[in-house]
Parts: sequence; structure tokens; C-alpha cells
Amino acid sequence: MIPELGHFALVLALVLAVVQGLVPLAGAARRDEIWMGMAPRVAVGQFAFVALAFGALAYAFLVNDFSVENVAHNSYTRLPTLYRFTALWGSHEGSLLLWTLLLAGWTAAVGLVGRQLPRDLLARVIGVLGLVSTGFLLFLLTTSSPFRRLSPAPTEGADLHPLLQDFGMVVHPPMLYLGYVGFSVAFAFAVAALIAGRIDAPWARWARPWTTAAWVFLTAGLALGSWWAYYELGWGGWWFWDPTENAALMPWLSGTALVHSLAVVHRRGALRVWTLLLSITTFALSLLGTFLVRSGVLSSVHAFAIDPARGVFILTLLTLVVGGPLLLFALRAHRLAGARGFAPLSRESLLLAGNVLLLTATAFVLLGTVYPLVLDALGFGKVSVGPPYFEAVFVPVALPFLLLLGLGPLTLWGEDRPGALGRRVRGAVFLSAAIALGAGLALHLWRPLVGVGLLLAAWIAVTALGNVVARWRATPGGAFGRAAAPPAGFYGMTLAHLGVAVAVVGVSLVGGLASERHVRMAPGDTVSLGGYTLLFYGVARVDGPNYVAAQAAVEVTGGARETYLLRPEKRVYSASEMTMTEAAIDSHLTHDLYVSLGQSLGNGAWSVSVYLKPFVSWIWGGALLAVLGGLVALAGRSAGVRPVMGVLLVAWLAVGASFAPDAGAREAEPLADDPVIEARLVRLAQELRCVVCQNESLAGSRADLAEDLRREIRDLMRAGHPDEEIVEFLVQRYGEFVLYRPRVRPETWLLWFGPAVIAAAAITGLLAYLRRARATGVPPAEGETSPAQQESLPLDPESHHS
Amino acid sequence: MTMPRETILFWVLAAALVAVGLAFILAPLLRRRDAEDTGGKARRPLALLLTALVPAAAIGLYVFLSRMEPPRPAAEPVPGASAEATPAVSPSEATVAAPLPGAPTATLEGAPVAPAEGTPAAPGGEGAAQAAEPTLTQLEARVQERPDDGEGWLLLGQRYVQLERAGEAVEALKRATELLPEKAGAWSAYAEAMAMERGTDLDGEPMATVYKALELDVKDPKALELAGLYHFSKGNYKQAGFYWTRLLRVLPEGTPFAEEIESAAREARRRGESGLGVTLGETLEDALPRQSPTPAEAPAQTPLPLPTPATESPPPAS
Repeated sequence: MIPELGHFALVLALVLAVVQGLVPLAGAARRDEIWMGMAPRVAVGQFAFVALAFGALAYAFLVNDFSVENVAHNSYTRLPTLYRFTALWGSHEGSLLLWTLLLAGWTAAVGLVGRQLPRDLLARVIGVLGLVSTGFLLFLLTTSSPFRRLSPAPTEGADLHPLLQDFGMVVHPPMLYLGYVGFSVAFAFAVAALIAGRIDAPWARWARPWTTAAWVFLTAGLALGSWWAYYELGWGGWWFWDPTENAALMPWLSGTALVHSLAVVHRRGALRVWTLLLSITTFALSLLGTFLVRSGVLSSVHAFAIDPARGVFILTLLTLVVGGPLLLFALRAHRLAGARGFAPLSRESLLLAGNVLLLTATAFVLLGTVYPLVLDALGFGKVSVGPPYFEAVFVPVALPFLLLLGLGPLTLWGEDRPGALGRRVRGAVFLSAAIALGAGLALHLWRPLVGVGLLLAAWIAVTALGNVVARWRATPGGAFGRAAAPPAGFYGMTLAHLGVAVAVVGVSLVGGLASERHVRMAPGDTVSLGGYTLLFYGVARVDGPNYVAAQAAVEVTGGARETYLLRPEKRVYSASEMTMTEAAIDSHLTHDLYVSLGQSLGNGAWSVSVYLKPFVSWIWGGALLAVLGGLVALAGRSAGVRPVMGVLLVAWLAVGASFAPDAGAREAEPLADDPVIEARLVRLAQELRCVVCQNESLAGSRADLAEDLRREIRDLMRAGHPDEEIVEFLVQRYGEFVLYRPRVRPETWLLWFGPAVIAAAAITGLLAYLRRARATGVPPAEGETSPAQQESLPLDPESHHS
Repeated sequence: MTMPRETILFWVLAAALVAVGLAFILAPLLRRRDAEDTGGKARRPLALLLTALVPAAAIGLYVFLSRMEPPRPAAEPVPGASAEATPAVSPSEATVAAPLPGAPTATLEGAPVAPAEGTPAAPGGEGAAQAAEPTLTQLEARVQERPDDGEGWLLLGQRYVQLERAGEAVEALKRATELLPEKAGAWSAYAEAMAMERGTDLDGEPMATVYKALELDVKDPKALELAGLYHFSKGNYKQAGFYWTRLLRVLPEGTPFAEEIESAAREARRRGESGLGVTLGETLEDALPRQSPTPAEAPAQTPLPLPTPATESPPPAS
């Protein structure tokens, strides 16, 4: 009966959501205080009922009620209790219920926290959120009820997908969803402004923290997802350009732009129309992400649901949620334009340029993600758009963006002069060049892209820290008074930008310096890599609660610590009979040693892959810093924040580092006798898709077929075939689907030349806008001001009453 | 829910929920405010309207939705659970294998695989299985009448394969793959026909077609069977065992040839000294501290046994 009550609660939530969507909006239109005043209460009620439904489903999972279809499909009696709970969002229905719960939660939070908001704004925001909730509840109830029964009930469930039985997957989806759904608040604020036909100071002041909060969660969710992929998928990659990853990356890119343009609206009253459009776009991309992942149009690691009816529903919802506001935008936006202009060289214009770059990158990712789907739907056959494509189009946008990231905070609001800016920047340029050069020398590293990466990372870090110092200098008073003077938002920004610098170091170095070996290891064999020596003891059987594993013991010597054992595993899950790789990772500040177990080669020998990933943890460390920055900005000006920051930083840095000579016994045999062939294989295989897997490259896949195929490629290489012939052979056998870098032909012209067109359009649009912005009038520059002095002035008064 | 008492309890609790829901809506509406009550006129009609509408909408909608979605019969498989829970294989998707050289026991000749809920055909009892099927003439007439009927071509092609009329089978199934390019069963049947035409040789195009079928559906029984045969004939026993084990899991319970496939898979695995089984317990198990986390909760019944070391016993077939 509990599931039925959950179902009933969900129906009631829908009814309340309808009331929440209609009455406050009508009230705001009629200026009826009481109708408007209903909004927060009804929102809390709606949240309570969705929470009740969520609880009912959680209960069904915890007591193994397999008469509920969703439980039978996603749980198992021997599944550990924690995963029995998180299995709730392992399915399509459950994750949508989580989405709806979080949406209701954000709404209730707005209702509870937003009492000081102007009444009509609050009513409109909650009303718009109520309409969105109505859509999602209808979707849940009509196409994806999580409470559906099976009769008679099966005695055992099918188990949760083994990939999801992991702590990373416990935390990652709720974080990601909190981010996705959080952007609905920014969206609701934008739509409320469009309905009301005005944007005032409270609007920006209130919309900003909600957006920052959503951004913090989305960043954390993305970082967790990437970290999970790194240690769970078993081949040491940290970003795969998988469509589901892209689905989360797009709202993140657009949301990052939104966070910055909101800052401009808040401080300067400029970029209002642009910000409204960004708010709508960001939420639209969140919905699109949900559509892509949950409708099953993609077949990738994450997409477990396949049902076209649902896809059509989400697409309709997407059209309504985006189309309505866009129409409103077209009708009303001109009324909301800010009166304030700015010069082509000013902090506003640089922020806008950064925004445009972010959106250009979003457009590239969208193109690459959706293109294969459209091509397939139109009957032009299957193509695979993979990492080689995305890297080719993404990097050219990322580099200027990182340059702007350092420059922006050094530039004046309103108008800056090239000469003055040059004087301010000069020192930072020299210093960052020196740092990058020093790092390159220390690491013996002369690849151009890595060098550029290091240079940009140093540039961002130097400018961010230099900005802090300049700010302190501009403030009178003692050391503590100076440090406490700037607002928390300033420190938040600095931390987030430092996070970017740290992540850029990680990305550049792991791309440029990573090394790997794939060997056949029998008990007693050793393999050396980067100063480590690994001795293979052998494999033993280990019984888990709901799986059986082959667990290898690998003795590592050569690190700073004494000899120790790593235990990579290969698991077979009982209910689903799926095989999963559990890599063993020894993580250090400067590098990770990553060992994963391949297949058994007979006589106690196994194929083993060993990777050395330099600075890989910096990628997530950077994300952590960025999240911290967002939190600091949210926490507001509080002296307690800074020690916490310090502690977290030190904790992160205290992981430890190591290097030492090596000792050898019997050297393990490489899987290819020839290291040259192995290197060629690794390079080639990254360009190829494993055809039986769901969007994995041939290099990464642990599927048996992929191992066979790799063996076949090795044989071909040994027989002296050049790479092109091998690729041709594979294309003959499997079709162009196997290529991650689609060939240039009429069907893919748009894919290959589209980015150039988009970039050209973006730059033209930006230049045209800046010229017009100039025409609307610029305030006179006030002599030789520095950004530090400008920042310490109070907020621009004009933005408060326009 | 079927017990009347439980039904009553459910509706009592549901009514309580409705009351709580109404409280959330009505409390702000009915609360007395200051003297200057701007919405005074508006609030009473709205309160009445909502008091009537909310319970009616909630209960009506709930009843409607429950009618729309009655409990699903559990006969429907739980995906991935075990061999007994597999999508029903339509008779058209699983037909016969071309006997290939080198395959010891797995020449599953002349056996339409019965759908899960259908009565399994007795071994050799072809008559019973075919009684319900259309005759060759009927099939030929069907495609003549509707040349765009992909299913028709597929059935016809499969019948030709059964009758070992390879050339006609290839023609018909080629047509079927053109009309049903997304149907794995059509591609695997086409591969089989091609192999038959070439004297049971899967090398080259037939095998590429098998892979194509697997790409469309990794559970296509015919494709799994052919892939197993191919690898067995090539001496890739481990691969053969892999495909056949998968095949066993896909086949519905009671398939007359399950035993043959099982022994073939066992043979393949024996020759292929497969994955987890062999090395486990053989190498350094004694030298290493054996870790065995105790099962969280031992279930009362274990319908899904752990995969056993592959050397000895077959995988959990049912």
C-alpha cells in the first residue's frame, strides 16, 4: 500500500503544482496580495508531497519490494543497503523523481528564503517554477510512473547496473541534478522579469546567488562524474566527450557565462537583455541534457532508458518551456535594455567576449553531440564524433578564453585605456612567462600545446593573485583590516580563477606527459614505469556481496613509501553477469599510478595495464577550488571563511609526492613484443570506436571483442601494414561508424565547417554589439584609476534605480 | 490493495493527505489579515473553488491513472535477470543454422526456437511447430502481393534457409535487410544464407554481416550462434564460448537445443581455458590473504547462483 500512497502523493503534488503555477501568476497580474502570498506556502506543500512520494519509493527499495516494477528492475536482495537506496535514481523513473524532488526543493527554498523579495517578483518566480514542475510531474505520472506494480511479484530483482554501484555514483547524480535544476531558478527569474517588463536592482541581487549556487552544484557534479569515470571505467581517461558528459557540459558552459553576465547586471546595470537570454538558454540546455540522456536517443554508457514516447514528451516540454519565454523575450526584451553603455575596452566588454567564447564552445559541443543523431535520423548513416573532433574544435576557443580570464579582472569597468592596461599587465606577463619557462625546464618538456597550457595557467594564477595584492595595497589599515576589506565575492572569484589555473596545469600535463604500458604478467613478472617497479603476485578469487572478483596483487616499489600492494580487480556481478574493472590507483600530488587488470591469458598470466598519469589529480583539485570559490562567494563576507579555505588548501596539498630508483626481476613481456607497435596501437586505437561497446574508444575498452581487435591490429602492424591501411580495413569491416574522427564528405561538411561559421558569426556579432554599445554613451574615464580602487567604490548607483 | 480492509485504509490515508494538501493552499487564503484587506472579495470564491477542485482533481486523476496502468504481468521479463528472463524471441528471428565444419555439436538444425510463452516444440517435433506456420506458397504469395513487406521477405528467406535453397534465401533476405535495415534478425538471417550459399563459409562478408547484426542487437540469437560457430571454426575457443554462453542466456527456457548449445559452449570453454575460472584458486591463492567479505544478507532463496568456475559446470542456464 505504501507505493500506492506514494503514487497518490505524487498526484496531489501535481494538483498543488497546478495551483502554484496559476494562482500566484494571476495574482501578480491582478496585483492581488493574497493570491500572490499563497505562492511560498503552496510551493512548500508541493515539495512535501513529492518528498513523500520519494520516501515511499525509497521504502520500497529498502525493503526489497519486488512487486514494484522499478525495484525489481534496479535492485537485488544482496545489493548493499546504501546502493539499495541510491538504486532509486539508477533508473529513468527514479532519476526523474529525483529531478522533480529537487525542483520542488529549490522552489520551496526560494519561497522560504525569499521573503524580502518584492512580492510580485517572488510570486512570478514561484509561479513559473510551478508551471515547470507541472510539466515534470505530468511526465512522471503519464509516461514513467515509478510506482508501477508487477503481478505476481518476482522473487528476485535484476540488480543495479554494476557501473552505478560505486560511491561516485552515489553522489554524482544528485549533485549534477541540483545544478541542472538549480538553473530553473535563474530561468524563472528571467521569465518573471519578462512578464513584469522590468529589471531592477533587487532582481539582479536576488537572481545572482541562486545562479551561483546552481553553478557550484553543477561544477561539483561534473567533477565527480569525471573522477568516477577515471577510476571506474578502468583506463585512466578523465573526460571522454561522451554525449552524456557533453549534455552536462553544455549547461555548465552556458551557466558559467550566466554567472559572469549577472555580475555585470548587478554591478553596472549593463548586459541585461543578454543575461535574460542566457538564463533561458542555460535552463533550455539543462532540459536538453535531460532529454538526450533520458530519452534514450543516445546509446552511451549512461543512457539506460529507451522509450520513444518519453522522448517525444520531453521534446514537447522543452519546446513549451523554451518557446514560450523566447516568444515573450522577442516581444518584451527591447523594453528591458539597460541605459548604460561601455567602451570596447572595458571589463564589461571583456566579460562579454568571454561569454561569447563560452557560448561558441557550447555551440560546438552541441553540434558535435547532436550531429550524429540528426544524420542517423535523416538516414545518412552512422558517424561517430569523438574526442579527436571535440579536441580539435574546443582548444582554439579555450585558449583565448583563458587569456581573457586573466585579463578581465585587471581591466576597468566602463572604459579602460590600452596604455594604462598595458602598464598594469606588463609585470604579470613577464612573471607568468618565467614561471612557465621554469616549469618546462624542470619537466624537460617541449611540446607547444603543453607549453601554451602552462603559460596560460601561470598567467591566470599570477593575475588572480596579483589582483588580490593590488587590492590589499589600495586599502588603508593594518594587515588584517586590509585582508578583510574586499567582499567575499572577490575572494570567491579569485579562488575560482585559481581553480581554473590548477585544472589547466592538470589537463596540459596529463595530456603531454602521461605514459602507459600494456603487458602480459605471470606471477613473478615485473614491469617498470616512471621509476616504479611493479611485481605481479598473481590473482585470487574474492567474493563480494553481490559479485565475484578476480583480484590481483601487485607489489609496488620505488615510491617514496615502502613497498606496498595494489589490488586491481575484475568483477563479475551475480545478477546481471556483467564484468566490471576496478582499477587500483595510487594517488600522489604530482602523479597517479594506475593499474588495471585485463583478461586472463592462461597459466596464471593476465594482461595488465599500467598508467602513469602526471598531475591528473590537479584537474579535480582545480574543480574543487572553483567550487570552493563559489561557496565563498555565497557565504558572504565572513571572517570565518578564510581559515576554512586555508585548511582545505593545505589538506589538498598534503597528499604527498615521490620518486626513486628501480630494481628488477624478470621483466614482464609487453603484449606487443615491440614497444613501437604498442605506441602506434595506443595512438591509433584512440581514434577508433569499440563497435560492440557503448561509446568507448578501442584503446579504452575492456570488452573481449575489443581485446581481440587490438590483437588483430597488432598482427597487422607487425605484418608491416601502415596505419592508413589498417583503418581502411576496419572501415571496410565495420563502416565509418568505427572512426571517431568522421571523414570530410558532403554529409559531414556542416560538422567540420560549422564551427568556423559559428565562430565567425559570434565574433561579428560581438564586434557589432561593442560598436553599438559605444554609441550609447560611455561615462568619462576618471584619470589613472586602478581596478582595485574602482572595486573598493560602492556599487554603481545607477544600477539601483533604473 | 485487493483486500477490502486495506482499500479502506488506503482511502482514509489518501483523504488525510488531501486534507493536508488543502491546508497548504487554504491557510494563506483564509488567514485574517489587517483591516485593509485588498483581496477580500477575491479570496472567498477562490477558496471555495479550490476546496472543491483539489480533492476532486487528485482523486479523479489517481483513479484514472490507476486504470490506465494496471499491474504488469510479471511474466514480462526483468531484463538481465537471468536466462529465464529474456525478451521473447519471435519465431521469425530465430531459425536454423547452416551446418559449419569444425563445430562438433552445435549444428542446431531445423529448429524454430519457440517464443517464451509458447509451448516449446518437442525435440524433433517439427510438425507441431510448423502446423501453425504459413506454408511456403502462402509466404511467396504474401511478398508478391506486398513487395514492400520486409517481415514477409524475412519469413520467406528463413523458410528457404530451412529448405536449404540457398540462392533464393540470399535473394529474399537481401531484400529483407533493405526493407528492415534496423532489424538485427534480418541481417543475421542474411549472413546465414550467404554462408550457406558459399558452402558454409562465414569468412568475409557473412561474418561482417553477423557483426552488423550484433551491432544492432547484441542479443540476436542467430548472430550469437553464428559468431560462436565462426570463432570455433577459427580455433578461437574462448570467443566461441563467450558467444554461445551469451546465446544460452538469450534463448527462452525449454528450447529443445539448449542442451546441445550448452555442451558446445562447455567444449569451447574447455578448449579456450576461459576467463575467471582457470586461474582463480590455481595461482597464489594460498600465498595471499584470502579476502571474503561476508555477504550482506544471505537471501532465503538464491534463484540466481554465482557464476561458477567455467572449467566444470555450465553457466546458470535457468
